[in-house]
Amino acid sequence: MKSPNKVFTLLLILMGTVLVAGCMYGHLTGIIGSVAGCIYLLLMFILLLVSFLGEGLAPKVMQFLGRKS
Amino acid sequence: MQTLRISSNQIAMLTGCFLSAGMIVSTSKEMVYQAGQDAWTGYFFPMVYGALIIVISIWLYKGREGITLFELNKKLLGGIGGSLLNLVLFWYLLSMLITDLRKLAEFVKTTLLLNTPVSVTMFMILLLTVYLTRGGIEVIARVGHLYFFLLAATIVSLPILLINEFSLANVRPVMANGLEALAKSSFMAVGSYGEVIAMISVMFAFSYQKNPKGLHPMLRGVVFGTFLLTVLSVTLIGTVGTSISARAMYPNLMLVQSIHITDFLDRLDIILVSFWVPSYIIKICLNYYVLTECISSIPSEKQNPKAYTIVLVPLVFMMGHLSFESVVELVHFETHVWSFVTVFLQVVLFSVLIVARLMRDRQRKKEVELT
Repeated sequence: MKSPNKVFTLLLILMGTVLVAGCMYGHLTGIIGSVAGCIYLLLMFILLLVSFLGEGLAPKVMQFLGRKS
Repeated sequence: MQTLRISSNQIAMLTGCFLSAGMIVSTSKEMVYQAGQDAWTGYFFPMVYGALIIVISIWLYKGREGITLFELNKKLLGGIGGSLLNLVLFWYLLSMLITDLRKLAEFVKTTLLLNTPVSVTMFMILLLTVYLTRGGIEVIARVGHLYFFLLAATIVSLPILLINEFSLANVRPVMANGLEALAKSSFMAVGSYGEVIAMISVMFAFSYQKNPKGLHPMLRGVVFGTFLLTVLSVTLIGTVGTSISARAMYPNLMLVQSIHITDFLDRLDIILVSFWVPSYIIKICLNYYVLTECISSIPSEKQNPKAYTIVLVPLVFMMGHLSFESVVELVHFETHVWSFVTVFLQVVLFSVLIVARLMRDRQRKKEVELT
């Protein structure tokens, strides 16, 4: 199982990458920005689950992320 | 001596309340003006900044828990250096407090008490703040815990309450304004996220982390605050649109006024605002508490912070009254000047503290080797 701090940092990096990439290429076609926006919101929701529900749901989410990544 | 303790959840709630209640009033207006429909993405980099200063503080406090930041300054920099740094922090915290106090008074004047002079509203809020602050940090944490749930519930329910007014066309095209617009709007919010330093200043003295390997509750609070602000921002842009949001003084107030569920629930905004205002008062109380802690740590020996609670009232009131001519000047200060002041002060503060900590650690290592 990964530590919450590692998952937190990983999610922050992912969100930052999606955001910067979306802003760099979002002006090309509308679909790029829309997809990036959806992924960004999804990642923010996962970050909230991982971080805020610390003692409850987060271990299960982290376990899931740990197994998959 | 009585030991004060705050639970991890209360710290997380208080941090979330500190961020979301603080920015709910006015910052979003300038962010929308800069980034248009992409303003809702502008909270990410400030969140990273807030998380970064929390992580640095955790490292600075390692092995020194149970003291405030002002005492830590004195331990790391010595009596005179620490007092000087505390003096600078006092000025910063005072500016933060008067900005918040005046902003809330102006907001109350616009929404609830239209004919009451701002100075009277400000004085009444200040009296309430003093009353709560004299109760101690535990009282502030408990009241914050209570109101944060209401604040979070109102913000999360907004997209559902406004589903009939929401138009996806207002949000699209997503992320089409480029990185420059994102950077500008993000910088507007950095000042408000940097205010987390007020939490950092006292929270390590009154709390312990249940699971040291887990995520720090203040980080959880920053994430939750950002989530709420993002939800609020998306709803605002989708419902009110960018052109009105960027021009209105209180766009979030306009947002809650747009709720039209049924005819008899037409003034739901008064109920929602009556949850937002106490949450904001909790932020002001915490600022005030930190200010008393700071001023009591400036002399060579730490004094009782409670002794300064009433003494500071005339200073805060007069400065709050005289510092800004109008609400336009206040919003301009908050969005254009405050971020720069915050970043500059915090970069200097944390650089000095990191260097001092590294030097202390090296000195201690040498002493151990010698013995």
